[in-house]
Amino acid sequence: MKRSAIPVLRQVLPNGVVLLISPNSKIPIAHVNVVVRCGTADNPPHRSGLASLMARMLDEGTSRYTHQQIAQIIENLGGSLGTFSSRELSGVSVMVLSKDLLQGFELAHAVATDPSFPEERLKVEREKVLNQIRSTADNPQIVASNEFNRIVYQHHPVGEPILGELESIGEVTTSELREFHARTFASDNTIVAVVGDVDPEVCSAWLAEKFSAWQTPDQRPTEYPELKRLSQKVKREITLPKEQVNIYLGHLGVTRSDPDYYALQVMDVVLGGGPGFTSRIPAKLRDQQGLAYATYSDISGTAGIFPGRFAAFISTSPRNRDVAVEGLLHEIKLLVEEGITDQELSDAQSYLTGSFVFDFQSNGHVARFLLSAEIFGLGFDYLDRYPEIIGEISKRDVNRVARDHLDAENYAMVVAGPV
Amino acid sequence: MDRKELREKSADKTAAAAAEVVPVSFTPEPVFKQRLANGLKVLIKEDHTNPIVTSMIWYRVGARNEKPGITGVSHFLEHMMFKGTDQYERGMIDIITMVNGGSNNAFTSNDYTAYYFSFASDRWLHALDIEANRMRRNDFVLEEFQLEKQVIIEELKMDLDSPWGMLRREVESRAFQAHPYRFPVIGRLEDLRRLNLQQMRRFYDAYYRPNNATLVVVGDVEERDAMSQIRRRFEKIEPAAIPHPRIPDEPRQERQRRVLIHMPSNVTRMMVTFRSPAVTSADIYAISLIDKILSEGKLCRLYQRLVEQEQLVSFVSAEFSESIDPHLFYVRAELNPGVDPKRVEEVLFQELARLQRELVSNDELQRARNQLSAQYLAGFETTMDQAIQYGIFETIASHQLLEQYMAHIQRVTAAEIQRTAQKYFPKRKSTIGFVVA
Repeated sequence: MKRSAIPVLRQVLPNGVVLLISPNSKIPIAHVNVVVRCGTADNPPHRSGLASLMARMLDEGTSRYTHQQIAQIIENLGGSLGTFSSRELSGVSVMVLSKDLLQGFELAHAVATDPSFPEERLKVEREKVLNQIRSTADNPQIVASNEFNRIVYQHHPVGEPILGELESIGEVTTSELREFHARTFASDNTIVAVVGDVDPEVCSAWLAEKFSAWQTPDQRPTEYPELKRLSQKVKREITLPKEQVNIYLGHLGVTRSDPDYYALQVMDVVLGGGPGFTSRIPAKLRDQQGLAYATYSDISGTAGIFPGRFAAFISTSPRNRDVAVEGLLHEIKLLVEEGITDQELSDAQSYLTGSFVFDFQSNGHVARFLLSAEIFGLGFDYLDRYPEIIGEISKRDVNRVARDHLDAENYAMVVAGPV
Repeated sequence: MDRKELREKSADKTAAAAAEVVPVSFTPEPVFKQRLANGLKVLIKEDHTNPIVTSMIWYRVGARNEKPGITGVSHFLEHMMFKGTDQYERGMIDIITMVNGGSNNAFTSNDYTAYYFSFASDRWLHALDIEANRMRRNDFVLEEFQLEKQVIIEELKMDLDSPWGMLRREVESRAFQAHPYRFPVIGRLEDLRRLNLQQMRRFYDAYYRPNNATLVVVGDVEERDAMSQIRRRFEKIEPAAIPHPRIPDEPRQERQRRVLIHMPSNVTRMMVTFRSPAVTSADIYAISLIDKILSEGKLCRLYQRLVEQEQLVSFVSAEFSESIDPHLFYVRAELNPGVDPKRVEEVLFQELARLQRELVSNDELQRARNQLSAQYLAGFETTMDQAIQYGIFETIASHQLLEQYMAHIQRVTAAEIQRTAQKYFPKRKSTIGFVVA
């Protein structure tokens, strides 16, 4: 299906800040995102969670506004302001009614570029994070996933839990937060994406004026530790008094720039990431064997600046554990050894090219697209080209990437639950 | 606007931080509504922003229509609706969705069961074909039923492994003593194990009828054309009398009820509930505002008091959603280590008492109105968001309620907030639960 390209005004300021503005007047709301290329991957040794704690502190005070003033301005308008940090991106997201856009800009700019990291606010935020870490430890799927990442990413910080660990967070100081912000929140490392009911010219004039004064060079390392796939099986069990075992099985995945990315998207639809129970893993393990409510696999979904992970997941009763693990491994092996059918290829292609348009409905969707288009150089005409890219993938391509990127011998497996 | 003006506007506005009245310049386009002769309600909303159509069918049936012995049947039936019909073999519904680049899913609540498809607008009629067929012609194969039962038991176990899931089950079953809202939507384990195919078949025959359903179509369609396509497929489906078993009235709660769950966990969790108004009550607007005043953003009362000032909890939230019969207003919190649960409870009730004792300020009330307005607008962003909102309101009350919602919100006064808090939040009407290690 043809869809008109998303209108985008792109501008690069002399200090490197990239502005991306996409108008859409359907509802009188605007979203402003200031996004910086840094995250968990940039945590120093023994400081897992630093990026996340820094991001949480962004709206806890700037040199111009106290944390209370920030909350008052945004909440009185009925808007919202959130800060975030993930594996490789961090930043600020603001939602305001479009008539309040300028206040939205002002706050997003202040919070992203000029946070003050007050000592007394760190005390409050730190306690909140510590308790959140404790709380997530009650979720067996997260416990299993965190352990799986530790094995897959070995000592690379990108594999650390985003929130961090009790020990590492307990010791963080405001000077570490300041240093981390200064090192990573750099003008030449920042993208400002504005989507919604806005006038692009007015936005661009205001943002250019506001952000041009910000001059901070990117001081992140140019090289990160190398990531390698496991060369042996690593199995780990975590005993938790639960009803189900949560099982992750897999290994290191690929980056978004990997030339095999699109063929892997097709492969994902066939193996474990398609809609409903059309993919092999949910069709067999859930629909035909009744082993689980939740089971899937995916490699392309986590591909980013850093390699993602190939993970097959199932949560099931302990008595099903062996059948479930064998089932997952069997499907992976079968795909590697025998490949996919013509029908599977064409179904997956139809699905990907048809459902793609759903990813561009909301302002949030469009903002996410603009950011990945900018970061990965997809081009803003990506929507028009995507069906062709997917259409050109052949069965041979998919079978080759399955062989190259899946390994049913050397993998990590974590089982958390009553083991 | 030139740049200088822009700058001044921005500086002024930012400094003047009091909550202003937000003129809601946005009113949703009126939705087209028709009722077929067989009773099927149809809502159509044209939205040509994207070449997408979302269609949803809503059945007015859920845990509310269940009784001991068959709890969980509505939700289980929802799963079985993907297992094949006289026209679509097992798995075909998903395959048709896939090869047409669509998406589908379904969900069940206390009051309704809803199914959705989103497709490109040149192929959305598949959704109508499937829904029209499976309304009366779903297949119930014993082997499939048994397999799916295992899947649902695994789904239930996920809930049992979650401290919040456990707490919700237990608190709801104590908060209601007579009304079926006391049953978990997924069902009780012992009922699920015993449930048989005949019971499910009877349930399907009773409730899956055109006169118990609402079809909502939102997106890139032309109203008249969509209507004639719908007629062609649904008109011939026979209506039938829908059973209206007397749903027992829940007796007034006059004493606080308590639940304590021991479960290995790293954090103590608290859930406090009060009976909430039915969707047809005029109190829903004040309750929605109270929800914001208590728990939206960082200025809200519970966050300020429990997280900031006393540092008793790391997370607190209040939740209210519309329901056919009076359901629950929830407050949930995660306690900091070493904190006495009694103290958290005490502070929560102090804050609820303050709402009953003092009028909220204009600023605080206006802020809550503005927050609700913005969230209301955001509910009209995608075709799916709209289909869900129209579907819920039409199923449990009327879509007009949705259209008039903001006007009502703007009219709620501080005195009404106070009266509503007095009516709904007396301590004796609460059910309070903790999960502790």
